[in-house]
Amino acid sequence: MTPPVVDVLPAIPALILAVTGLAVLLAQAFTPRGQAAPGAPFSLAGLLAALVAVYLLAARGGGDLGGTYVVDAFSLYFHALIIGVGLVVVLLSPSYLRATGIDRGEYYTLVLFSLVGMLGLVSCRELVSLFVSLEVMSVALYALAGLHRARPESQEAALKYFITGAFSSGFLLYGIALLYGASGSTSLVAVGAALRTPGPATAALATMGTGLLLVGFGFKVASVPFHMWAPDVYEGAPTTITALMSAGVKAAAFGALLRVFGQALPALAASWQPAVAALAVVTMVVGNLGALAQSNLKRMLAYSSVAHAGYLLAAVVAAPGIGVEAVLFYLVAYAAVNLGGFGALAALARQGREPLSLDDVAGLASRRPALAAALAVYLISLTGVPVSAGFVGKFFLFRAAVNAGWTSLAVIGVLMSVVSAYYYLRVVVAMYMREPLGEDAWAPVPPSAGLALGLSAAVVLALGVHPEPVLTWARLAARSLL
Amino acid sequence: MNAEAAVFYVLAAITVGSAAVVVLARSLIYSAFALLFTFVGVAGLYLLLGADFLAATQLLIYVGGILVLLLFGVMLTHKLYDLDLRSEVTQFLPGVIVSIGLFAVLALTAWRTDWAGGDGRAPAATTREIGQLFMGRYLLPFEAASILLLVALMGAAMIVRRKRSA
Repeated sequence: MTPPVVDVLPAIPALILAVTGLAVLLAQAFTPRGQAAPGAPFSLAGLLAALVAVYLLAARGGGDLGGTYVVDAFSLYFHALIIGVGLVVVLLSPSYLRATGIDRGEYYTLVLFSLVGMLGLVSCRELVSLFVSLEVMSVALYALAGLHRARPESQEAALKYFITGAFSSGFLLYGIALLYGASGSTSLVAVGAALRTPGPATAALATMGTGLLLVGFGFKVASVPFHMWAPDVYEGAPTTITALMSAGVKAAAFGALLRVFGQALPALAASWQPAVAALAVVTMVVGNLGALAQSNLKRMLAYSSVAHAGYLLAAVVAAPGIGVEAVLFYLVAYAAVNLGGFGALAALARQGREPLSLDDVAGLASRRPALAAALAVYLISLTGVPVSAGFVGKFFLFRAAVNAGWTSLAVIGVLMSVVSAYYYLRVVVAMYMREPLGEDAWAPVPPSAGLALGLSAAVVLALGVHPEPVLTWARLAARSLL
Repeated sequence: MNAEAAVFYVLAAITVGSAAVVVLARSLIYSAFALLFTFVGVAGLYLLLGADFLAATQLLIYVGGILVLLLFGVMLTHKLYDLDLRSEVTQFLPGVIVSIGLFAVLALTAWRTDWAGGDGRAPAATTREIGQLFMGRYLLPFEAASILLLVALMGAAMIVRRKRSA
């Protein structure tokens, strides 16, 4: 018997990252004891090669792997975004790892494997493959969250993330099982076709499955009431990993959410839209009010990440159609801003400490003018002030909600953005209007981290001034989902 | 009630009953032994459905591997076997309400659904077909699962490693 021929070409970007991960691991094994393998250059090379592969795949028009893994415009868009996030995180990492004494070979391997999981998550057109990808991403991040062996907060973050993550995976799997029971298939297309002609016999089952899927994804994107892990995990995890979580995991989870709900469950839109809308409202409100009360910058950004999940969900309500492209566009803007925000804190780390309070960043503008300016750009974009990516992105998100007839969601979103200005701009005020306290305790910005931060700031400004190219691409990607 | 249904109810009772013991037992060692019956009960359910490969895997991996490892872990860990496992109960009432509500909704859904049955015949040996699917249609998730195992191994090794005195 000859084995069936499988065309693995469409999975090349993910395969390149996986092989690079293994190469970094082996390189560590062959490095003398006490020294670190050149993990960062290896990873950078792998990520750039994967980016080239994505470009070549796009030129070839994508592809399909046995019906389980599809590379269409939608997944290519996310491929580029996720690999970009990976590049920035790897650029930020070496100096941070040295400053905090956690420079280990496995770090880059686990980061690359979690990126492989993210690529799978946005490309899988079959629920079981999707679940395996989700677990690859999550398990790597559970371990990475606990990388600071000496810090109790990091251990707490790993345990908390692991337990809530495993719990949410259970919900997701239960939902997948019920959808399989209702439709007899795990392929998104087949599920969609089966549910389009629903008998009363399976309608309740499919609705229940949809609800459980929503709970599972709700955990992963940190939407209220499934957000309670986020502040502790974001605070305890190494800051570069927090950046990866807030930019990469959120993008990949929203990608999977859009694909599953857009391709398999459009027939049930009438029952999941109100639920998503309710999640969006409580997430926007609780996330923003929670952020107001934080004095720790990492926790503040964590609650801000919760709040942004709410803004994004407000546009998911308007999916399929204009809502999808709004979410896709905003995910790029949001990723750049969060990589920048957490990256700026990581870049200043010195001797295991990093700036975490307003006092720590007071007067930063006089000591690190370039870094303070970049951080100000990110914070202004998070608020949604014009001429930043955040403004354009939020505009599209809320317009999508209004067009779909959910004006109240847009109103709440705008009101909450006004509230958010207080806690974001408080940091800018501390950097520019206050005198620095004490001696300069922070590291000079290392060149690679400077490059990463400059890139993020450039993306934020470019998207704010000239959003058309990315928007066109997002529109193309959204269309391939239909 | 025919014989098949009778076998199903016996197996289901074993599975659910022993699972309850796993959760409720005060001693870890009782929980571990009760887990044996849960695993065997699930394997029996797989057999009843004609999933022979799955049943064999369930016995080999869960009973033969995971459970034995778990028992070794419990027995070799100092003082773990007579540890009182009850943790402090917080949020008792909300927890009860949520779990009873969720159970009611799930039970009602299961009850109301007109489950699609097969043609009543058990499939012929499934191993061959599963192997072909793993090497063909599901090649990618199959390979992704091996990455998942590697990641889990690395993560576990990283977390239990002794702290460096640096």
